[in-house]
Parts: sequence; structure tokens; C-alpha cells
Amino acid sequence: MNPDELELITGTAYRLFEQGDSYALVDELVGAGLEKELHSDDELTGALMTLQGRVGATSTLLSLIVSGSAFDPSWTAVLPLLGTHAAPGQRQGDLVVDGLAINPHTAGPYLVYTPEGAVLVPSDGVITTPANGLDPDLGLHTVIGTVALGSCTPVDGLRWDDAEVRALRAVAYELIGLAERALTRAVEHVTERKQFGKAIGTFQVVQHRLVDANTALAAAKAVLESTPGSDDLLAALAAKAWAGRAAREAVDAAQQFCGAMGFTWEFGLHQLVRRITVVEALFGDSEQVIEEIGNILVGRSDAPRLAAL
Amino acid sequence: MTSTVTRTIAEHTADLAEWIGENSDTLDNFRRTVAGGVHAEIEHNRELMTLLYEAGWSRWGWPEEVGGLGGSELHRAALYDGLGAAGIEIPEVFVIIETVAPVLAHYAPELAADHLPAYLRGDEVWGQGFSEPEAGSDLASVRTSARATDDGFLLNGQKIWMTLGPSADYALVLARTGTTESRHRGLTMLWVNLASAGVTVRPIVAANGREEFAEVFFEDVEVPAEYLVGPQDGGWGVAMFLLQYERGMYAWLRQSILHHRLSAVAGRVRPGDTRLSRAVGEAFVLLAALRARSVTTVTALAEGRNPGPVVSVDKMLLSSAERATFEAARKAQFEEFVVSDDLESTTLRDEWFYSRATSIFGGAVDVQRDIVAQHVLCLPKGGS
Repeated sequence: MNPDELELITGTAYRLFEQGDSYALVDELVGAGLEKELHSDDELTGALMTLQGRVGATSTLLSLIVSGSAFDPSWTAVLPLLGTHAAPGQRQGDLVVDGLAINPHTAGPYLVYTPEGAVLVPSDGVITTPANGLDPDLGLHTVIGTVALGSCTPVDGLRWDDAEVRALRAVAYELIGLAERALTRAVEHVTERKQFGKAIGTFQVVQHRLVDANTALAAAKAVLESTPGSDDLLAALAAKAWAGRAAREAVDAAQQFCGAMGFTWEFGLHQLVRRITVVEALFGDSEQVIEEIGNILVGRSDAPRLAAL
Repeated sequence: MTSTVTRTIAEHTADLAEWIGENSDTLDNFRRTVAGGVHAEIEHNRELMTLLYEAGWSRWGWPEEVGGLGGSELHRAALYDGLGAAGIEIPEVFVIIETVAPVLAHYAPELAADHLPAYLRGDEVWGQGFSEPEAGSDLASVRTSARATDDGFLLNGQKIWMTLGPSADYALVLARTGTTESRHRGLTMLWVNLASAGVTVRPIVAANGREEFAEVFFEDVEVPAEYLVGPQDGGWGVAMFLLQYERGMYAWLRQSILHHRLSAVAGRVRPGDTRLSRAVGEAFVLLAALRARSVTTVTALAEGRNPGPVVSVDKMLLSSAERATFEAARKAQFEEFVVSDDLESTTLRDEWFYSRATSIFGGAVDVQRDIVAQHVLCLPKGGS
């Protein structure tokens, strides 16, 4: 994809994100015939997910990315429960579904991955409940049910191993955008806010904490950009770990340095704290992911060299 | 082997791996560490340096006019990665090549043509003379003076923390040709023969018990005019040119070694040991990030672009990766680490200690944070 096309698409996405319509972006992308690119072009996926984070928006992009090239805009992909990237469906005679969905279509169907493949489940086969909880603006729902396999439609050619890697990378990109949003907010504030006669951003202790968040951010970007389109689980996990850590460190620093003002409802930083906390837990938070990486390496007795020269 | 002129870095890497495979028996001798400290290591590695030189591998990445075979920093990076991946202990002398040799090749090609082949063959060792007792992270405070004479310079002063200094034959020395107040404007880079009259080299025993560095004293040392490296009073620019390599290529070289070390740790951990798995995972994400950042930096250097202040990020990641890798190693062998005197445990202790210095040498990480705060995040300047 050339830079002009990319800029046109992200420009459109920005406009739609600002309008706050959670479904319009994916409709627009599918209308433009871009669903294939969204599974193969890391730069495009990355740009859109990063933008979603940077704007603090929500959409159905993740459904599209997880679904693979057979995607139809009426589908809602069921995501794993928080803290794991295991397939949300299990075949136990029937299909047992226990997962999450972001901005689901009430008319359905749901795309549910199992370790063996993926099926479409009619929306009346599962119970979908709004999970407003910590971040009511995200559009998070729980999707639970036991469905006879006979009432499901298999979707050929989909593997959870591929989908989870695409999803981990996509969520990492969104966390990068969220980290940038938090860091920008913090930098603006410490540049303007004066105490003891000078901007608090001149204090080394403030600077170094923001620099550390920026280092995690640079690390996340580097891991993703050095492995474009990679189907490697370790690279995706490493990127997710860094992006989650960057977002968390950035928003924690922002909360600290914005002081009492930052703790008010009106200031709005709480929205970012909420969003980052939920998105970081999607597909496993940094701590869980790092432990998993360690287990994989111990299992292989090897620490592979990811980025190529 | 594919044609050397047209092959890509991936092909170059594959050819190197093939050569390593074909010479495995000879190279086995260099898959182990040796007892006897830094000096013994240097002597042990001279044979490996000769092998790599004669087979051409260490000459790639250096211009033909200074004795190389052409190519770019990517070729050098491929060598360090290939050796590390094959479990060969990368000789520490390559660290100095990556700091001093780019400077010589760029600013003093005649000196590079005279000395680089000798270094690569394992016949010479060099040192880098930047730090002084009163000039550490604040490099512009250098006091060692170089007074211009009719046929060169007269050098007086003291350098410290010279890596490989006790074995070095020559050194690149940053000296003051202006007044102390001239700060970074009055500095000049010189090539100094450490066998010259008036030079005293004293080894410094580091915290790990090894003679890792030296302090070097200069008393009316005559430096010939042709040993000027770069413009007179232009030493600061030369030093900054060097630092992008020290922070970039060195980080790449170390990540190669650290991946090898972490693989060994991973092989030692019992599956299901959560505490150690976490330590391995933590070290790995640092290494993955360091490697990813370093690829960008090495590519920038290969394309003749200055990677800019972002290279400080590499340095910070390297410091954390070093610490995390050797902390994981320590935890995985906590008992031997404390009580055993065999070579493996001694080496682990030496390396573990040295990993704690990475956040200090080459510009302390605290200073790197200042650089990023000001030049990347553009935070307001002010007294801190």
C-alpha cells in the first residue's frame, strides 16, 4: 500500500472515530474492498489500530482482523476471556462458548474459534450481555452459551493459531496508540504546570519516569516493525508485553503528574486509565504474557533471534 | 557460496553459517571460555581472529582502501550474529573495533589502512582513551592536553577506564588543544602509540577481579602530526561520531552474545518453575526489543545516516537486557554462583558483575534519559 492510500484510509478512519459510530469504519473498509489487506498488510492494520488507541475510540476492527479473509461485516468475532489468548470455543460434544465481544451485532452471527477451527454461531444460540464494568464506553459484552454443533456453520481455512497472532499484534498496536495518548497528555501537562516557580517537566524525576514509558513504547514499536506480518507467536507476545507495559507506565505517570486535577472526573484522564486497563488485559496482560514467553523458551531450551538484519 | 558481489545480507549470513559448519572442529576451541583473565582471553582469541581474517569474514564491512572487502555495517553485524548463534564466544577485541575503527576509517584512512588489518588478524590491540578521573559522563571536561609542536603534539595527562588497556598497543585519545573553558570546542582526537616514551599503563582490577581496564598516564609524549584523527579542535565531532557506533553496533554485538547466554539459561530451567520462567521471559522481551531497535540503528549506520538521539533508547535497553539476562542466569544457578570455583561459575560471576557496568560506561543511562527527555520528548529544560 502506498503512503497516499494509507493516509487517505487513516484520514477517513479518523473522521469516523471522531463521529463515534462504532460500526461505520468496518462497513467503510469492507465497502472499499480492503478486508483482504487488513489480514495481510501489517502497516495498514497497525496504522488503524494505533489510531483507534490514539483517538481513544472503539470499533469492530478487531472482529474483522480476527475473522480472516472470509469476513462479512455482519459477523462478530468472539474474543477470549480477559487474561488469556486461548480459543473462546471448545468442542465438548456441543460447542461451549465462553468469551467476549466488542460492539457485537445483535442480529449475529458470531464467529467462534475452537482449537480445531472456526464456526458461525447464530446469535440466538448464545447469551450476550453488556459488560459495562470498568470501561462502559468500550462496548464490551460477554458471550456465553452451549450450542449444538449441528446448528453452527463451519468456516473453512481458519485457524486460531493464525488469528491469535494477528489479534495480539493488533491489540499491541492499539496499546501503542493508547500509550502515545497518555504520554502526550502527560508531556503537555508537565510542560504547562508550574510549581516552585518552574514547569514540573524540568524536574529530572518527572522526566525520567516519562522517558521510561517512552522506552517501552519505542520497544513495542520496534518489535512490531521489525517483524512485519510475522505469524510468530513469540514476536506477537513480546510486542503485546511491551505495548501493555508502555500504556500502563504512560498512564500511571500521567495520573501521578496530573496530580489532584488528574484525579477528577472532569479532567477525563480516568477514561484513559479505564481503557488501558481493559485493553491491556485482552489476550493476556504483560505479566501473564512474559511468564508465558518464559515457559515457551524453557520448553524449547532456546531464546530465538526475532528481528532479521 | 554465492557470488560475493551481489549476495544479500541473508545470503552472506547463510554462507557464514556454512563456513562455520565446515570448520566446526577448529572452531570448537572458541566455543568455550578460558581461564586466566582478560589477557589470557586475548591471547586465546588471536588464532580465531586470524582464522576470521584469512577466511575474509572479519574484513567484510570495511572499505577496501583500509584493508577490508567492502560492504557495510550490516556485514559486520551479520558476523557478530552468526558467531553468537553458533555458540562461538565473540572476542572482546571486536568491541574496540566497533568504536575505534569506524573513526579511523572515516577520519584517518591512512592510519586505518596501516592498523586495521593488523588488528583484524589478531596482531594488534587498541584502546579508547576518552574518560578521565574528572571527565566521565561529562566528556567535555577532558583535561589531558595536547600542545601543538612543529611536527605534531606533546601529550600530557591521564586517561582511565580504558577497556583492554593493559594489552593495548595503540589508543585513540581525546585531548584538549584549547583552553579548559573552551569545553567541547577545544578538543582534538589523536592516535597514540602506547609504546612511546612517557606512556605508563597501569591495569585496573575491576569489581569482578579481572583486569578489565587500565589507567594510562602521558608525560610529554610526542605524537607525530600524521597521528591527528580528524580536524584539530574538531575532536568533539569525532567523539560524537564514535559514540553512535559505541551505542549502536556495540548494542548489536552484545545482543548476539546475550541471546546465546539466555538460551543456555532457558535450557537449565526446570519446566514449571514459574519464578525462573518469568526471569527468562523478562530477559527475552528486553533482548527482542534491543535486537529490533539495533536492526534499525545498524541499518541507519550502514546507510550513512546518523541514528540521532533515539540511539540512547538502544543503550537503555541494552543496560536492562544485560542485567536481566545475567540475573536470570544467576537465579538459575544460584548455588554454584555463590559457592563454586569451577571455570563455568567463575565466568558467570565475572559476566554478572560486568553486566552491572553496562548502565555506566559509554554514557551512564541516567544521562541517556536526560538526552531522550530533551531531544525526543522535548520536555522543558531547566535546573533539576
